[in-house]
Amino acid sequence: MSFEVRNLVKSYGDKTVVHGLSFKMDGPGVYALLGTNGAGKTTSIRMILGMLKRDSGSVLWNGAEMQPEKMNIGYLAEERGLYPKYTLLDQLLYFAKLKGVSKSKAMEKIRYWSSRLQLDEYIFPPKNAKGRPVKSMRAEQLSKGNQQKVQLMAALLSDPEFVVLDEPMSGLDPVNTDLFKEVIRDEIAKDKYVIMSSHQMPTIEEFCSDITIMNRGHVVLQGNLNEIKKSYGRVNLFVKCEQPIDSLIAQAGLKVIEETPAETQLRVTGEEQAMEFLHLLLANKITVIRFDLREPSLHEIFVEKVGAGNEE
Amino acid sequence: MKSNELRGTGDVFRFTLIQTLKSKAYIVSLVLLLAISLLTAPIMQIIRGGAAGNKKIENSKIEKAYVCNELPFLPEGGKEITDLSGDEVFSKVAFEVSTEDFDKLCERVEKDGDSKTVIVHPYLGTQGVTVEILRLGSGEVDGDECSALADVLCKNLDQYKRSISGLTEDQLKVLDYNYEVAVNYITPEGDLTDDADKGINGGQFGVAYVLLFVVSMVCIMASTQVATAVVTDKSSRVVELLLTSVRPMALLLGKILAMLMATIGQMVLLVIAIVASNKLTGVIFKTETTYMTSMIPKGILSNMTIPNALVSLALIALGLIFYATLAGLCGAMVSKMEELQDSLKYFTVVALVGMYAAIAAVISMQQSATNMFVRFCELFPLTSPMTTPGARIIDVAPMSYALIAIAILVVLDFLTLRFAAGVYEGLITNMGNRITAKDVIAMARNKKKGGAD
Repeated sequence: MSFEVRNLVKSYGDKTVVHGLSFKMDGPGVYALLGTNGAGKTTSIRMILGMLKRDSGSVLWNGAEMQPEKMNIGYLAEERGLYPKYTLLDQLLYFAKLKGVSKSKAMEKIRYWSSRLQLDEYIFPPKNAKGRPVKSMRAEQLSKGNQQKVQLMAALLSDPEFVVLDEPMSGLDPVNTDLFKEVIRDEIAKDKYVIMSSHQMPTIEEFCSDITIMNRGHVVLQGNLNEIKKSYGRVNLFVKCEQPIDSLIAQAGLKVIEETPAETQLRVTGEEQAMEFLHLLLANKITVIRFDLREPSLHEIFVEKVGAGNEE
Repeated sequence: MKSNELRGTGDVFRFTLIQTLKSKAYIVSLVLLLAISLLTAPIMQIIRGGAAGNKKIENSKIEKAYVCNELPFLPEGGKEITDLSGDEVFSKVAFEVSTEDFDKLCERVEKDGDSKTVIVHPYLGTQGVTVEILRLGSGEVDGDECSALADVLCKNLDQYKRSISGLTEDQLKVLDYNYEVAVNYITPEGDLTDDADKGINGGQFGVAYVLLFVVSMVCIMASTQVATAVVTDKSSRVVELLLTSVRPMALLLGKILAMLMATIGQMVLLVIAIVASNKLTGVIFKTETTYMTSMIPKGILSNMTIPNALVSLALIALGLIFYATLAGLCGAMVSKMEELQDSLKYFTVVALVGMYAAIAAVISMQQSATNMFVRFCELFPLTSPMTTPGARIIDVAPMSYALIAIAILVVLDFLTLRFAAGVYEGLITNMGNRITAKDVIAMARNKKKGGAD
């Protein structure tokens, strides 16, 4: 199985919102689509899922043109929604039916996910004081976080082979964020193809092996996250010393990125310059508490790439 | 239209229908309308004054009847028609031919105050023979008894007319025949063609107008509901999730069919309720012909054959699909419920044009049922669903016209749905500003140009 996007282009009038997006997943895993607001991520996802007609390009699933209606796709849209006036059970059964899941199987899945996402009291409320069954709640009666859980449930009800998660963690409290992460980890473990879009870089670093960063519809960076980081080299030096080292930093010609009471972050050209600076500190009998040379974070890469793009 | 464009239509249809039937708005409106339908016939009957005219009278309180005859062809002063010895109800009524002046007789009877006495007063009115029965306002005799007595006397009057004519029953039937003028011409092919341009009568007008009104009402109700359902999908943001499983076309068509089913179902229930209530009213008020039934001219629905009913239903359904698709498109142009009313103006304009033209056509049928405008409206797709079924049922529109109208509507529905398919998916994911009709046309053009699908 493979998933490939080739040269996707979408324009609205004279404005091109996606300029030739291409990427490939040779096997199961998580692919990240990153970008600022309005970068073209959601438009690209909609084109991939066949909701929007593309001006050109193709989306291939296992080498052939992908037909989303015929596939089992789970989608958690950025623009989340449920029917506010209908009961949760009714709409979950409907979403499952549209995916071709039988009613009995859907009920089984709903019970599983309802228990796992702690939604039982809303979907299968306990009987009332008179012992009469109580109807499943309506979506409008749920908090935003719980509605988001129901939407994740709707996306995963059919046990999809291909999952698209657009900003899955946005707006969640830490407890529910952990719950979502656990679910996503399980889906990855089942060898699924997952495309994730998020502004939360730590989440992307946690789950994704390959990324595409988009800015104003253009791809500004693409590839394996580890390779990208490697290509930047270890240029972030975090130092903490007992004595002041400002004069030595200036002597070594290093740029201070950030200075906090806990540490000073410096930019070096590589390991060689870092070692030279360490020798300089030791030669000046500075007590070094911390000397940590790291690759740039995804956040830094993102800001650098997108910031540069926006300045152009 | 590709088959996968319609995949999931059934699921959308079922879900939308069930949720609509379960909605409080639907249930409340149905209950209210059912209550009105069930109560209309008995209330009309009560307002009209019980079962006047057709109530079955099993016994009568009338003991005496003065006959004050003014008909010139009854030489014995009305005695010719007062033999009711064979009648089950009025056999014991004592008839007395009066020679008094009518007004004086009335005064005397009133003075006497006999509560079981009536005056039978046959005279020649402007419309023909009138048999007037007068009773004391404070008397024991009621209006139904008087009506029944008048009916029996009229029958006797008929028999007397026949007896003095010396004609047989069959000969008399010939005398009763109505005249009808038919002007025909022979076509070059040798066929006889009706050349008469007659207008429809009041009863026919009533049928055509009521049908027009009902179809228009169903059309507006169902179409508005379709538009609301489309906006609900968008405003609740569910549409994105749905679109991973079904195409916009299936979403739209499923909703249209569900709303049509819900609205037509409601109408059918109302009709059943009205018919049942009318029957029940007849039983309760012991009358063969209720007031509601009496309002429907006899034989007016004689052309309601199965083929005509099917043709009419097809026309109505196809018309509703067209209007509902249009309303659905209007719904897709906005993202918020509060904007719906404004976007529905396109639908409203088209529906009003159709409705007013149809009303004008039905009104003009009274003058001439086959004039150019009527013929145009019977074929024009905006008006044919409202005029042609009625015109077909009252036997004004030829079957060929109805079939052509169906063909035109099939083509128009197909094109409208194609057009909707072209623009709907462009509109459906638009969650921002309202889209204008210009944008919609531009989207349709883009679709025509084609893209990498």
